[in-house]
Amino acid sequence: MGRNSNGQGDPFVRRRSFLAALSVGTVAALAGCEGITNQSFEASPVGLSTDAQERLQLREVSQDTLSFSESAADGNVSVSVTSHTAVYSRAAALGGL
Amino acid sequence: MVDRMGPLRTAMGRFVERSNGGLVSHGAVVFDAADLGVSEIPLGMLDGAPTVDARNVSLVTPGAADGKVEIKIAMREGLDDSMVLVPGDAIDVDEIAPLGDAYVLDLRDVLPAQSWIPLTGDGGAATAGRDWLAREGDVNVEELELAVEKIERARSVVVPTGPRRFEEIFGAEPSVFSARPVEDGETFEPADVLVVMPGDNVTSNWPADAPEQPADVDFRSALPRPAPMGGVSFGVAVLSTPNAKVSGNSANPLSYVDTDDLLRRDAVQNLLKEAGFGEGTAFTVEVGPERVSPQDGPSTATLLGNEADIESYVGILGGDAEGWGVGLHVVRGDGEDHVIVVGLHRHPIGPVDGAIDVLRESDTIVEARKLVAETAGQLSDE
Repeated sequence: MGRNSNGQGDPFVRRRSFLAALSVGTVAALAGCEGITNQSFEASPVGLSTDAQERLQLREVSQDTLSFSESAADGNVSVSVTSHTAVYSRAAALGGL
Repeated sequence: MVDRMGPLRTAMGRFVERSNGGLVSHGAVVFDAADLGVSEIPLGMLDGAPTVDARNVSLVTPGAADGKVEIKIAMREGLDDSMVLVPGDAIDVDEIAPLGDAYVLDLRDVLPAQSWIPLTGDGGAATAGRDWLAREGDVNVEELELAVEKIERARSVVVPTGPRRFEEIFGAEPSVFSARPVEDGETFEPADVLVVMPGDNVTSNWPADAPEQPADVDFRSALPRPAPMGGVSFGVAVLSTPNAKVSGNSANPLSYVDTDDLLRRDAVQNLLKEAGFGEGTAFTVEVGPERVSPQDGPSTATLLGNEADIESYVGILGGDAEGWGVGLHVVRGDGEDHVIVVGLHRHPIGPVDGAIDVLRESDTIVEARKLVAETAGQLSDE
């Protein structure tokens, strides 16, 4: 399942605006917590096996990793969240678009 | 290796794909001709040019503007862009005798099956008679049952092709669908056939002594229903996101916001575009999303070993995608991560008042929930 690590960690790159929804307020609140400097969280990818795609007449059309990091203004707290996505299409599985 | 199966195995599926500029995922809708302000339709491509009451005629209308990748709904100005379906026994003749080029096909090679769940074994899928055929205005169960009975009796489908060749209409040779040409002088018992013909074969054979063709067929005020195309527009987005907590506080809103809120998040909207709303399309949900809880079909799914509710919504898109009806089916489960599964499908209903009601009552919602439940049950994090 998902992973969580503390420490300096990698500087996560915002690959999409998507996790911009991460509450700035939440991060700001964390800024006051001593001992929490850098935390990163990553989910495990979830998807359909090739066999399952065939059974369901679905075909994978994309797979992506979405990451977001926010730091408090003083730089003492950084929270990174990494999610995984997969998209499947019936039309693609049927040989169409 | 991709198998061409399901709706693309059928002549109607290929007609829809071709009419949609190669995009079968744009799907189609079915109008009852009587709802379009048409009262009678003469069938000049049949011997005797019999006239059929429009209450017995349905029109399968593909969704997209021809050749456009964008999900803009096609302008529907007349009958020419539709496929016209008439049960043979609604035609008042002793025998049906096509004039000009025509083909005979098995029913199952013409109309896609209803079910969105792929069938195993050699059992054939039930064809969705009641959704393809005209409901004769005031819908009641008895009439629907009769329609289903009709189509099950209609073991053959007669397709007069008219001014265009079979390949132009269906994008494949007749042999692909085991179609055989109607022989000179061949006739058919009306009760044994379903007559399916391109709309331009109707208009180009409009008899001179028949009442004039309707100048405007009013597609804009009529409510169609999604064509039962086996889920061709169906897509699934899966998002696994960590249940991030710092000092006991959740740090990832996607893991805890309610589903109404979740569906409005950029993250999810971007995924929905990939899964079928159309990338690069500027859309808004103009009407809804409105929560629906159909009585039929599954209400829960198993997601990574845990039971979870299926939450369904219907809506009508606006912006560049004006008039597309959409169904969204969400399953969410928590373990160490929060996993979100969203199945979606869309249908070119049109910017018509009451369009959301069509979706709310549609069998497609039940079929989509079944497929989402099946999909969630086969997801793995390994």
